[in-house]
Amino acid sequence: MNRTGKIVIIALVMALVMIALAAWLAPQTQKGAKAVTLQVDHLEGEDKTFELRTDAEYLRQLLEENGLASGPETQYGLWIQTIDGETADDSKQQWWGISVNGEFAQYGADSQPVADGDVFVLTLNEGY
Amino acid sequence: MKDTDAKKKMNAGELAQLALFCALMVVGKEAVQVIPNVHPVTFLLILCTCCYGRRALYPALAFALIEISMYGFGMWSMTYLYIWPLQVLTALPFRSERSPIFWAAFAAIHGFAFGGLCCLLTLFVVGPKAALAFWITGLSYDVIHGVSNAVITGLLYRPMMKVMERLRK
Repeated sequence: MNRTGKIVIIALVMALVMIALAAWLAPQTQKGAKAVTLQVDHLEGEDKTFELRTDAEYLRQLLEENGLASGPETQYGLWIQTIDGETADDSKQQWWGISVNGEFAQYGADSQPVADGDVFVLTLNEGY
Repeated sequence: MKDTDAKKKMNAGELAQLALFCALMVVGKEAVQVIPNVHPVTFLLILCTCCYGRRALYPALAFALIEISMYGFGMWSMTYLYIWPLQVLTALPFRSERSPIFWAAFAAIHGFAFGGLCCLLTLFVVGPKAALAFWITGLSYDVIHGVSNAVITGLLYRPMMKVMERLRK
């Protein structure tokens, strides 16, 4: 084999090795990198606790990707009316409250950040 | 083509041509820097080495110094001080070769090895773990570098050599 043939083979082998290494050593993202606990405090029916893994940045995404919340869209984002199948009844002054790690949430579902290890409690309250 | 006799004194014309090569390397790199690791520097240095022999070390070093003056003293810019002269030194034994495929493969190898060569400085300054991390992070860019070097050199080597032959007659 002549000199050109040899150097072409060296270049091709290097290319293959590097592509294989780049693919093998590329940083792998873990699906559902954050582990969070979500408790639902129902007025009717049994309370539930969900241990969830998520990549959600905000609570709304976490709730929606697990099919747990629904409600109308407002200028402040999602107004939670239904959680885990139970709908707050306006006529009885019912409303869903959110607490994060034991404290009443300062934000709505759209802007409440989700961090690894967070414990969210969604409570259906009665009376304003 | 007339080969440069290394012992012969460099004339003004040759000095101007080497300076032009250096200018082309700087402008060529800056003009396409929006595309990571795609540039004609490796190709121009190959061409320069084929035409001027070891005198290609002058534009190689001048290019490194201009880059350092433009971007400041940093780890990556300091590596230019040995990477580009090393390319000239490794190309020198093959300078009579005129196959575009040979030089495309040579340029590809240089591109693939670029990240590894950059890591040598990190290895001595920071340590082996940082050097390995640096090399792994840049692997995909080294692949782009090697492939683009091969394409640029493969396409431009022959027409540019013809231009150089006319210029140096």
